[in-house]
Amino acid sequence: MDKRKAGIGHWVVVVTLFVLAVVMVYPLYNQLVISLTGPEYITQADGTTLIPRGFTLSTYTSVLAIPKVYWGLLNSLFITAAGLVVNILLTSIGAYVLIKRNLVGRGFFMIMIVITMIFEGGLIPDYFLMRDLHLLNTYASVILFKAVNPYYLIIMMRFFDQVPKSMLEAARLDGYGDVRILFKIVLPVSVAGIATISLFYGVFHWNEYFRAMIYLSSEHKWPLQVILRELIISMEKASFIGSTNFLQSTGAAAIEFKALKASLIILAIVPILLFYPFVLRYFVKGRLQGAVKE
Amino acid sequence: MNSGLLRKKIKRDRALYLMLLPVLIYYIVWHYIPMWGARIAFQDFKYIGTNEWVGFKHFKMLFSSPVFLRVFLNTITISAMKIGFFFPLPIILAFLFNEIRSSGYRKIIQSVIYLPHFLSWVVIAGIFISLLSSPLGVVNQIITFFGGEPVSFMTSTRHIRWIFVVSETWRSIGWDSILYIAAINGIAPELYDAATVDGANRLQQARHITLPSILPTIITVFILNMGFFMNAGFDQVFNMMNDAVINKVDIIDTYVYRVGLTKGNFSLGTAAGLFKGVIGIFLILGTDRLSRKTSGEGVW
Amino acid sequence: MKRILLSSLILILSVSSIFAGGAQDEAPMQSDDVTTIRIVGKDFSPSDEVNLQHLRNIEAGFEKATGEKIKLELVSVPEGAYGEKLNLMIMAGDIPDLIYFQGGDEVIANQGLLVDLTDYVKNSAVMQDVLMDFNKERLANYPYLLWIAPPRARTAVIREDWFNEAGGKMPVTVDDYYALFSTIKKNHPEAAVVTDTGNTGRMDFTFNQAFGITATWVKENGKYVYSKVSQAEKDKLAFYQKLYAEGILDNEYITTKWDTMEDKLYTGKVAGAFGTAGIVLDIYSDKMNENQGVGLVVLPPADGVGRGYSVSSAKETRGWAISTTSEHSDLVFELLEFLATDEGQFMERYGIEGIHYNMEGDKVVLTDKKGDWWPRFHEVMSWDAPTPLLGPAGMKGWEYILDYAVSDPDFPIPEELSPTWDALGNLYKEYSFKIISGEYSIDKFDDFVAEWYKLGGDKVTEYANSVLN
Repeated sequence: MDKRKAGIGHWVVVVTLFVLAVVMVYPLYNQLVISLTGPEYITQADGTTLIPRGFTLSTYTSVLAIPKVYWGLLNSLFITAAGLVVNILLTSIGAYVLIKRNLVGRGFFMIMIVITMIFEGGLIPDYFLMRDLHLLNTYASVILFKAVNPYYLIIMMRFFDQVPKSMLEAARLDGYGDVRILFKIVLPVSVAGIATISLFYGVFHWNEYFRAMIYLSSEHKWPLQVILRELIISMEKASFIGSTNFLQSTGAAAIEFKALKASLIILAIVPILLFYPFVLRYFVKGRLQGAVKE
Repeated sequence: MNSGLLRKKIKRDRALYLMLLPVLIYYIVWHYIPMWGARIAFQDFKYIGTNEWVGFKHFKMLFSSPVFLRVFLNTITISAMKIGFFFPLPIILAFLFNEIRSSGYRKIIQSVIYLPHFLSWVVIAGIFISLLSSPLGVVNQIITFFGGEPVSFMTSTRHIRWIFVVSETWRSIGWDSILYIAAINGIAPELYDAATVDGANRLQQARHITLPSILPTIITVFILNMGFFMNAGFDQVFNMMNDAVINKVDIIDTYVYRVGLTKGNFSLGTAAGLFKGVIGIFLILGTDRLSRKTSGEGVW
Repeated sequence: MKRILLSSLILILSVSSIFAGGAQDEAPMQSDDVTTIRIVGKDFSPSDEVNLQHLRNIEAGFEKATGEKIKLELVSVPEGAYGEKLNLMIMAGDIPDLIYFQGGDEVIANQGLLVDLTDYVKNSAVMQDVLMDFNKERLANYPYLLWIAPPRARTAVIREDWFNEAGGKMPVTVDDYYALFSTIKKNHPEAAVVTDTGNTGRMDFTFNQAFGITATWVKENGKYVYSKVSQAEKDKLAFYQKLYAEGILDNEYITTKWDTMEDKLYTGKVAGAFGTAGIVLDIYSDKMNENQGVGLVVLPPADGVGRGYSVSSAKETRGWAISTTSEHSDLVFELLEFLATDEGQFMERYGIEGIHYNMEGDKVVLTDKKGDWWPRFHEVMSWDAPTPLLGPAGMKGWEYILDYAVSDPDFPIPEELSPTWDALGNLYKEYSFKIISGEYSIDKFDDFVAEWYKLGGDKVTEYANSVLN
């Protein structure tokens, strides 16, 4: 229990954060409202719209009626989950080993890894690599893309660094090998770090669309973001040439482009909104406390 | 260190090397092999058939543009402004979070503060253009309400770079603060209890406990971002620039996009990437060394 | 902990099983007497039933017309990454027979991967018939892309009620335009009269010729000069400056995009806009009626030194190309020819029977889904549509194009001059806006010209004179 007293400074902080939160949320709230606005009022809807006039769920029902969207959702979930397993595993292993300052070649490895953060061959060599590895059009190509992000690796190292040496000593004395130390001591104690990195990697996978578009030629493997973007683009084309009717393959009612764009923004964010509080649970203060028996 | 000692150390650590192997394989296969593809920066790219080596031709084309110097300076200026003004803000935000005792309130705020990060720059550009429009945009309405003259912000060469900094702040302050919040949460509460007993107030506690504890994290983030210094944010610039301010905000990436990529000149794009990368590496190594000398901490 | 390890192992194993799922989409089946032609286009996805139906119709029509059996196959490419995916396909050696390009074709053509269409076109009666002058000129400059579509000139539209209120007289000269615009502005001071999208590109279609900007490169004293540094340009900018100062030209035009331009029109923030002549004008009209309850009046280009819409003859900016690796280039061209004939155009313009139109006896009746359809290959302007496809606004736009399109002998900028050209373009962007917005006085234009030449404009002008003479 935090025993610090509340003073005027505290209230300044509270208010500032509140204002900040409102400013952050407002545009998304605005998009939500637009996505729920009926076609008669949609043209007038703009950045100041606060209430969905002509309230309608039809935009959402039309989008969610498209089978492709469900496939996209499933694919995204699969890619994100599988990706996270690979990411956390490899990043943890890498961080655990590379944090050992007296490892021979450590500096060399670190530089080698940081270089990959800055330099890359680009899309074309990556594509041909996938082709040569026979990974084109496989989920693996997307899952393994940026499997170990040097930035996150180094951050994980920072978290691991905070594990008390005494714990590691104790484990060694008990005869624990490195793998056991990593999985039984370091990881459980660095839960905040794992949660943070998982969030970063998770969001990365969830939002990734370009490589998925390029590597995956089968549309039924496409993650949600790709589907949503394709929807926008074809809708834009249709809207551009004059149609306010939705894609032929849906048989859905007329949807306005503006409302569609807004609804797709909301749809892309909702899963993250649901996932994040789950992660927040691990951002608990003083997790280390109690783990070290002095 | 003599080779005998070296071999002994390697033998002792052989389990570690084995553990590291999959990670190394990943980097070699997924990064170093394709990196070899970046040699097209020194070749004339051909769709089929073999590329011919042309040495520094593309670099020369890059540097010889009458606007290259300006584009280069824009990139540096915008990046520097972002680092100077934006970088500390997520840290400060994390500190503010730390002051909230009610975990309920904290959770609510935390759950929304990162949301703008998920909006694409297309959307954010639209928002800012609309907010800053003159005379009817919200900002100008406020200005005129207080008796001022409306300003056309998006077309003002004096303001445009600041708009980039502000919009970047708005978008990323919440998301970037997550890491610092996690770091602050790792600080043992006993430290704070002890300090309170010693009579330290909140500000002092922040300065003497929180800050030093997360300083390694801050330094790490700072140095790593130095590697991206020459990027300056393509998506943002691309979506928010317009003809009026193009000379102030055209960065290397937007230039390369226009002159190289849209024309299928991949070699030019790759050459620019190498150029940016070399500078990035120097900046990382430089700031790392500086940091080690002054605070003892490096990036790893 | 063990459980987590176990589950991750299972997950990884299942992931690896997906490695096996790397099968490419099936290879095309080739029967002996049917030739398969592989096509890749934008907005032309093989997973869209409408596209497939259209191709089947074309196959049937083609067989009827030529007796040859073909199978048309679409290659799947994601819209969001069309250019990149296309490039990768070509690099990997997977080159379809018929390819749609929207940029990035020059490098590929320079490598000899695209068929030179000159002879095909020369020997084709159909093509000679349907290609407009500017198409022929573009092919002469760059014979790799075929794009049969109306020139993309933007025509001015004004809302009917405010137009009539201001006298309702069709403006002809620049002065007429000014008079009309000022009156509208006087009647509706809160609104702007016209807006543009990021630059004055659209507006220029209406006013360029009138001020003497008769081509991209104009002759001054016997030598070619870039139009944007000519005296005519200066006069035009002075005019725009006046429009901006008086609030006739939307002061926010520089940050306006195509969708916000339309929004402004439909919400009465602007009296008029500029749209591509053709179906776009019908769209504007319909939406205008929906939102404001009025129609739009289509205005002709202004008359002055010249009159018309300049159509650049440098090269097609997009279009269909035949790959040199195709084994059936003759057949592919025949297909392109067929699509330009009356039979082909019938299918191309009306779409799918039962969806976009219905036959009532001999008459074509368009359904309300007609707006969902667009021509996949060619849009021949001279085709006589039995049932009109365009509404009054669209037709008016086309009428103006046919009456006023003016050829613009232009040329593609060579690669070595690209960076310079880009820099010169930026210079113009900066100066033109500052002058129009009034930040610079019109005299600064001369400074602009001097700087333009110094920055490398002299080199480009030299090149232009060598090429255009």
